[in-house]
Amino acid sequence: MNVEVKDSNHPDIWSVEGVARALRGFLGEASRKKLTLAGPSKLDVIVDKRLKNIRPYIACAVVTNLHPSEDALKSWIGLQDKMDQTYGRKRKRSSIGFYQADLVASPIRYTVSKPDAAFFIPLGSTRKMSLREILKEHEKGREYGPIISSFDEWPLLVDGRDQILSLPPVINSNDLGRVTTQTKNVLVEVTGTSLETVHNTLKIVVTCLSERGGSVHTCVQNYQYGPSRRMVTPDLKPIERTMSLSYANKTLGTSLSSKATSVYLKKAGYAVSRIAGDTIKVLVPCYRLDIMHQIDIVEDIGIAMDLNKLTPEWPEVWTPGGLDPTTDRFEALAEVMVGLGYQEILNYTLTDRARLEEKTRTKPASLVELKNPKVTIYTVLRNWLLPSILEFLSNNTHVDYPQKVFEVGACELREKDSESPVTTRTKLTAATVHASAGFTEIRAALDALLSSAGIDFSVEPAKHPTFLDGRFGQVVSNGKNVGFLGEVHPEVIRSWGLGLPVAAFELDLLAAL
Amino acid sequence: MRESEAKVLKTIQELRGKTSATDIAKKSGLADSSVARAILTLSNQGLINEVIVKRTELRPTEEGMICVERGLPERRVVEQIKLGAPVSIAAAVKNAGLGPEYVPIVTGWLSRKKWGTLEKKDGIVQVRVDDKPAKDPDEHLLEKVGSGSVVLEELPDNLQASAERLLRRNILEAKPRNDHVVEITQLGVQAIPTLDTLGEVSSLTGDMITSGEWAHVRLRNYNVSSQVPPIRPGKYHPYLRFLRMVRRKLVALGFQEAVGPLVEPTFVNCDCLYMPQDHPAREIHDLYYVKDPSSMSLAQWGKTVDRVARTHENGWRTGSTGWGYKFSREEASKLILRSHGTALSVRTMLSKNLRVPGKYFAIARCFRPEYLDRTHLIEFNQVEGIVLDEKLNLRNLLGVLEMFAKEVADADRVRFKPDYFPFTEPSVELQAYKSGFGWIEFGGSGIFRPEVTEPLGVRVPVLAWGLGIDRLYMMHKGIQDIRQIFTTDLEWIREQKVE
Repeated sequence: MNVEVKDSNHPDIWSVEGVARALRGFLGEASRKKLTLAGPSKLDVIVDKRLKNIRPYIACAVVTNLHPSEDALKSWIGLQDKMDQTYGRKRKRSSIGFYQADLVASPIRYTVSKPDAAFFIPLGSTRKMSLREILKEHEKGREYGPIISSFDEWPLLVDGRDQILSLPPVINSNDLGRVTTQTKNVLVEVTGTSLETVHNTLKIVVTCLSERGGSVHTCVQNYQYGPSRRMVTPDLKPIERTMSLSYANKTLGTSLSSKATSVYLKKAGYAVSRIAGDTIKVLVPCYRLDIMHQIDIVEDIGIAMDLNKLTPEWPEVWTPGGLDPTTDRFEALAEVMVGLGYQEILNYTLTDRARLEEKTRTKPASLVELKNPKVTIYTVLRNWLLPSILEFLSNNTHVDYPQKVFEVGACELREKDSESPVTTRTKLTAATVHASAGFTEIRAALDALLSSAGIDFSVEPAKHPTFLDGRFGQVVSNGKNVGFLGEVHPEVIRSWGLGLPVAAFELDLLAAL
Repeated sequence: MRESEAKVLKTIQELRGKTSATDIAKKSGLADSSVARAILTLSNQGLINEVIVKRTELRPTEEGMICVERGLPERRVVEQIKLGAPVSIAAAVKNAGLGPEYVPIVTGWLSRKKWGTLEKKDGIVQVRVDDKPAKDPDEHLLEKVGSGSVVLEELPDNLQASAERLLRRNILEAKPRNDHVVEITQLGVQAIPTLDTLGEVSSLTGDMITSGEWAHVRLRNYNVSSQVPPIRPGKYHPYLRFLRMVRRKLVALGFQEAVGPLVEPTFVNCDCLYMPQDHPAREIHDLYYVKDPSSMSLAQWGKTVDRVARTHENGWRTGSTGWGYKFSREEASKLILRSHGTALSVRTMLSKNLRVPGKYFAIARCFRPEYLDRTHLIEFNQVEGIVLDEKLNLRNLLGVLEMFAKEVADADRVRFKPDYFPFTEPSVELQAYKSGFGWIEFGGSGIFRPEVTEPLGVRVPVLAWGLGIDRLYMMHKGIQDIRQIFTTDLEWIREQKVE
């Protein structure tokens, strides 16, 4: 059997324990392990009010009677990492810590410390370090330090005997915070900036551990600020949600009875508390963080039924198909260009200023610029097409001439309007390159194209740094500039490593049509 | 012999009996096309020989361009490392700004080039570099390639070995280049003195036809089996031809095309799709944010923005719990490059012209900050669409998917798997079976969540689907490397058949 876990919103199946639990229902093993609390633990937590604006929330639990194998430990560390990265937003929103519960003395104090006032041996090290040193020198310190480094005081977890448990959310201590196959009783701690996330994360972790046979004991958090002073965690009670049977049937295209629906709900891990007419009261297990709407439960019924058992049915929605009017017109122009012997090509819209400006002798323009470019050759969106065409030609100097190419492509222009500061303009650019390429040839192609499209136009003399003076013109239609054409300047030709004359035109299609 | 042929033969002799077609045209003043024609005839008559000299030109790949600029990955990593101090390779690779996939590559080269000593400590591979390694032949070659055209056959032996390495590493690519050279034969040399004594008429002219003179001259016989100079037809780009086919099929199934801008506010690309504002997929690693202009006004969407905000915060009146966080309008107005075609489906639903029942599709250029490699593009196309109607259900979604698999992908069979997207529930992955290829993942789909449709004022179920069109094109063309879609190889493009 092959189990594929997608990167979803289902943290309850991000561990082998969770997958096993989900599979049990599907494989017909009706008896899932009941999630119960084994009573209070001996560990209480006091939350310092100075954490209010730093990392305000904590939730703890103790899981006893564990006999973790190497594989189990690997699974828990994997779950911890995945939860921290994804659900915990790279430990910013929440982070998880495991400790040897038997070495920890109550009460645990979730407090703060000046960066140079506390020292401990961080996990994976042998040396006692100050908090500041950990952030500077420890691998995890460098990775997660920025979450707390801007504060004057940093979060610290200390037990009743003043032993340091960890520097949340950065690193555990090497002695209390190292869980091994010998650890029978585990303290689980989650800190973070969202109370809901912290509580949910704890639920996911303890239900995972309890699948290995552990007993879950609660901890009491005493907050020294805020409205609720005392919070007992974790809360493993299921949440009751209402689902409409007719809604489920309408969405799935089925006609399930309430009885059949209950069977599928059970298979998917839910319990049914009451059925009244169309209304089904569904008990959602505490670890199902993804259930926001009854549609989420309906999907699980569909999956429990097996999507491949549903009969596909092409929807009888009779609508006229069609192309966007602009596509229709652009296609007609492309057809003429092909008829003129021009090869259609395709280029990236991302490029850089060197290619758009320096290599074409034009002045820096206002461009759409990326904030987070990945490589230096793709930093802006192009505002005209000719550079893309020249770059294409420069890659083909070994290929037989004449070369005649064109592209219909998007260009991005800046506008003054705050409601649409950028507009996408589709342009058509064509170039011809060979020993005797020149103005007459490209002008003839432009004439053929525009007259085929029924566009009246004239060519007015003008100047452009990319083109030769006296061999460049603006294309004017209905009093608007809709494009230009000319012989490319020899310096531009050389800057692209092309050894032959190039003549080209560029049209703004929306303006021209 | 024609005048042009005689001229070409004489010119070759003047150019010491061996030269290129370009030089003949330059020297003789004849047009390229007549030189090419003359060369063909002369060589058929054995007066000249055409010789093709094959050369291999080395150029940097996309990845190679980055290496030219910043150095090879192992160099970039070594530059980061403090001399004499062991560090974890994974950390050094990360510090060098390289992705984790480079860890094995860099490890391999550091060890092979003996630039550092590797050791394993606590299960972590560490490297120690004692001396800054000198520039090696690979880097010399890369530098040469970066500054101009390099021909493989002309390289000294040690750089040939480097060339092979860099080719294997996909840092360089080899482009065959055919240099055409013609040389005059003994027969050709003998023919030159008799050139002026020829008497046949070669071309039939309009005058000859009207005057009747054609009946009295001797028209020279052509060698009709000989080759003629090639004509390059204008054609559609093979990938765009494929997209046109997809478009035609979707229109035939009753879908209306939608178009839209490349630069979108995150409101359209993410928020309307119920992706929470701190969703991992909205981070700087997954979206291209625009620096300038960095945001836009959302005023045109008026109350819709409020409804979307409240849906994120508490579910509004969709029956959902919402995400339970404070929605930021500032975040929503940030501009990004469209990262998925679904943004266009949102545009369609936001439009005043939306028709219900309706079927829409779009071919959308999308952007993601990836490193270019065999399987990743930073710019790609997605084919996406929606179906809207009061009575739609999950079985209809499966019906749409099945139809696409058969109509567009020409698949034999289909099967469905549960999938996950933040904006659809249920979500379904389409797998299609094609003989010769096996099961392929061909699309993602789902029914838009109520949290997506209701704030946009859409009160009917909406089936949303996206097709893995690039994958299909690559199969169709037998392409292994996705970068080939945006190929700049004109020769390859010219060779493609019009299927």
